[in-house]
Amino acid sequence: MISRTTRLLYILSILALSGFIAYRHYEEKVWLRYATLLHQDMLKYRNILIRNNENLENSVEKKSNEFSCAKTRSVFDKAKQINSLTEKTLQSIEDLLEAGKTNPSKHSAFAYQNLLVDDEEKAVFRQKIGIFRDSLTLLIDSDSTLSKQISEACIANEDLLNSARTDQKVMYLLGLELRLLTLVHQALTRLEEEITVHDPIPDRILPAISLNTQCIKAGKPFSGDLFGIPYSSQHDSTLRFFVNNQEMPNEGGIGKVKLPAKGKSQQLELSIHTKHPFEDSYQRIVETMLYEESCKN
Amino acid sequence: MQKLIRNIFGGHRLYIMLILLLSSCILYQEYYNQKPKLKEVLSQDLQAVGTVFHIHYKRLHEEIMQSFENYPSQYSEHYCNRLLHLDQQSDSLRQWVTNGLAGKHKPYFPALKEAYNNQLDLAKIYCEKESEVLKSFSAFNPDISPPQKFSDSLFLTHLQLATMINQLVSANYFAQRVLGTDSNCWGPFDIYPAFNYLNFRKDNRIQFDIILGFYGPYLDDHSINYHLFLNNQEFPIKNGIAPFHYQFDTPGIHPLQVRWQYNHPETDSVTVFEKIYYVKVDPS
Repeated sequence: MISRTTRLLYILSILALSGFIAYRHYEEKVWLRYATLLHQDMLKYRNILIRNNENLENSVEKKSNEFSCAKTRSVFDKAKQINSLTEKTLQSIEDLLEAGKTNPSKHSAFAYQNLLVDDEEKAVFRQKIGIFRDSLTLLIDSDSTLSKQISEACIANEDLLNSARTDQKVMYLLGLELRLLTLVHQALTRLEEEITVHDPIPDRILPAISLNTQCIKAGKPFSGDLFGIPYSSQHDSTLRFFVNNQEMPNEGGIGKVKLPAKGKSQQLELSIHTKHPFEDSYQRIVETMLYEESCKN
Repeated sequence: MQKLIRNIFGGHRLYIMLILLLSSCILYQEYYNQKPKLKEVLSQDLQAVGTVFHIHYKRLHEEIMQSFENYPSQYSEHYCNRLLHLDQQSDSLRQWVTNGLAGKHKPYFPALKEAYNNQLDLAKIYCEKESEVLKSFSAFNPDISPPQKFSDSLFLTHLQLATMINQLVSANYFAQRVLGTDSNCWGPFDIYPAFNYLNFRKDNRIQFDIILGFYGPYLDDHSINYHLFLNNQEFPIKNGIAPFHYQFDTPGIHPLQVRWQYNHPETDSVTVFEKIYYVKVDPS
């Protein structure tokens, strides 16, 4: 027989252990409820990031078309490759998840079974992440900080990979996808910045006038239009103005034209040369206009 | 038999067996449960997402404010004020969460939820019920929020993201309104050489200006209420242009002083651009 005190101690220990198990069970229920909702939100975050990355690629394409040259074309190629590589990697994770889904229409971290169970499957997963890491770091070779972040993010978390809980593996894979997408986002943003040309903002207005008639007579009313043309005063270093191939002075973004008049009518070829932002060349905008004496008698 | 039963129930064996059973159950659960590690990893993943959203938001914010500085119209001011108000509201909400993450205090759920609902309502009103802000995220779902969970860094990061997304969606909406559909809208504009109209001659010399004109989003969509004058006489503007009728009574070279003027609505300041053209008036 055991003493009363010893029995009391035993009972207390059993109660404490049972209490601990009950508390853990309650905590688990709370977590499961939360994990279901978090899983849904993470899918939404993933979609936002995928859309943002597609937008970034489109933006890079637009910019590369605007100033087509070797540099912008190469940046666009990289952006395309990065998105295609990401798409492939996400697809392989998606395939993995789909294979382990118990109910194809169900969207929850708990709708899976037998995910990443055997060692071969895990090895393939590690290999795919490794290919993603190597290819992406190769594409963004100029950015060592980002390369390091990518390398760190692509090291599979073995504890979670070997976890007996499928729902935890699903959440881990979804989190990994988010992490990869944010790194891709950073890589695409840097590429976009490389070919971003900050256009001078139109900060001034040139008050302008046009007349409906070329002949104005004293005492006779005439009509026309008044308007303002926005332009940028920051254009002075990037623009050159020409009239009939003769360069005109540039004063704060305005080409000041002063020419001797030759006869009653003359053809003028006006051109503005804008500096190409990535190459040592100029693009020309040309327009011809007919200068005529204001009133023909 | 009786002795055996007495030994089991009366002796140490049953208690030890029970304790061992419960302990092994706990050990089994704790060993296979990677939840703390998962939470840590997910928290970092969500923080990375939050950083991307925050950078995006900051960029939109700067573009909107910059546009207002460049084109101080009532229209852009309206959306800038909304952006700043929502910023204040979100800042106080985020402060709660940041303090919780830093372990300064445990955020109090009802207050946090109220602050979030206020932010959500404000965002809905400010976005004129047209944007995705109506699609709320589940971080503030009461089903998942027993008060003791509020010191959990994963949960707090999740909350931060929910508030950030509402702000981001709202800023995107304002940017569309103020800057046009393309949030990276400053370039390229439709570039055109604007020199056709300035065809005047003085002292037997052709004299005019060439500029590279921009499409100005606020000037061309007439949201800025500016004025146009010819020789100090104002002419009403229709579709951005002020048609005028004018007369000179004597022949000769006469000046045409064109003035573009914008009276800032909130201040007494006036922005003026002037240019004098000359026109030759023939005898009648």
